[in-house]
Amino acid sequence: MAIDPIVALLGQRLSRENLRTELDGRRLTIELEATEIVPAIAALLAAGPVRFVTLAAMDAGGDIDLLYTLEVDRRLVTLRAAIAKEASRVQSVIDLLPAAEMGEKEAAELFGIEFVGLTRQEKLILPDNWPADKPPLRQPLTGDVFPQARLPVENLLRDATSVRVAPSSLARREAAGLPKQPAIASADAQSMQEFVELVKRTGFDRRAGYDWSKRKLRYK
Amino acid sequence: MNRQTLFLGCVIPLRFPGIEVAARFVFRELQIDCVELEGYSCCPEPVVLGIADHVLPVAVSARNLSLAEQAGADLIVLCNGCFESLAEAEAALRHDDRLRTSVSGILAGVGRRYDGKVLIRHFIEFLYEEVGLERIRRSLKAPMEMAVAVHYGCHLFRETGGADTLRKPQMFRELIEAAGARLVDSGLEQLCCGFPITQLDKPQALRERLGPKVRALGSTQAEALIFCCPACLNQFESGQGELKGLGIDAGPYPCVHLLELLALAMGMKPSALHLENRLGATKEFAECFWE
Repeated sequence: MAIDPIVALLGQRLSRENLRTELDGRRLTIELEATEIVPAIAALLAAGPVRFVTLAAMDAGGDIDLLYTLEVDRRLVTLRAAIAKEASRVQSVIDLLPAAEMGEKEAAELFGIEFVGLTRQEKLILPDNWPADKPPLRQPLTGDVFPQARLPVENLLRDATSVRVAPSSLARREAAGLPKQPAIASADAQSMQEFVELVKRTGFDRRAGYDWSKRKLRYK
Repeated sequence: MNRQTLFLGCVIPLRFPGIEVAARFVFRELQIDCVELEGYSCCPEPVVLGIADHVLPVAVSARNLSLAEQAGADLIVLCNGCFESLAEAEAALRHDDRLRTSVSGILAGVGRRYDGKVLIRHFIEFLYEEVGLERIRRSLKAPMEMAVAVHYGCHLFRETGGADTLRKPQMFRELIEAAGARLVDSGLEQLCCGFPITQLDKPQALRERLGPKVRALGSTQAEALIFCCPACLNQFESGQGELKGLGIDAGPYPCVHLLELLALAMGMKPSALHLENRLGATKEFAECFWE
């Protein structure tokens, strides 16, 4: 199957081999890292005419999702980036797309996102005396995983198993005359990398609010 | 016929290595050439994760099935939960076009595909249908002449394609008897052990599931309980010690996996199972009865 030209262009400019995309008729959604939004828009502008349509924000539990919707070559293209609530900071795109200012101000006021480079700070929607630390549409940090499932989810995403791979378990295997490591994915770097990529492609890690660097959920 | 591959799951290799030792011994004694599935992951766990997400469990199962298919292998599954996860994912991929398209895309993204060519069998089915009771009986060196009770485990009733849900439980019973043991029934064999409820409310699981089951065994002459699911075995072995604290004075009974029973009946030294690492009555049973 031929690669979509917009996906190919962004893949090349962002040096990304496997961009996650959804195609629904003429509507294309591309998932990007927050830091990739500005270079992605710059790449699209350099390739041809782009019309800014809208910027929408949505509370996704652990992240605030920003959806930049553009018209590119008579197609509706949405660049979607998840902004971790712990950071809540992203580069403004108004230098490239001045019309995005209203959307950025709305997301800043209602969801508490800081757009670096958005200099005009007057309120757009909220009263002037609204406290800056209480964005009304922002919920406390949470994820899709209900309390009883959090431990199995953390075990699965950390070790690709339902139970923790403890040193004492491996020692008991050895004592029983078995190979110290069972043939599970976490015992082999390449298999584990494949498993992690598969989980990421389901989007579950994002929905669940899993922090791959800390190897645990971002909430208790 | 494809090669046979053991799907060990997580709980057996990491919590009950003696069951893995027994499995390898039994299949070797029966001259069945089995290899392990390399690079596999959790099946994944069928109850909690199935509620937590719709796509992830099927995608994870599909990757495991893809590993087997790439190796030209069929799966012999040693755990009820793993069997259910893999078999249900297989059925979902077969019947749900939208899910199949989604999961195929996810697999393709990691360079994999699954074409539905893997036969997934619970080890009970394999031993009963492929090996046969007669060949098992001929392999015995020390038939386990004792009275035992059976716990099936809920996921053993899971069938795809409309088959009789009591098919595998009946096979389980006949395999226990083929090992030389005498089955005694309490009448509560089909009741859940309470393991999934433990994750929500442990006292309730012990009071309303494990407790009644263990109490009912008092009317039998059972010397041990036989399992084919490591999660159920774990629930009984660890949970029985807590029943007294809840005012339930029953048991405890030694907990033995069917593969351990068969291995012992086929002449494996009891010490090779390392039952000294197990809990309560199982440990004592090993010391008093087999040693």
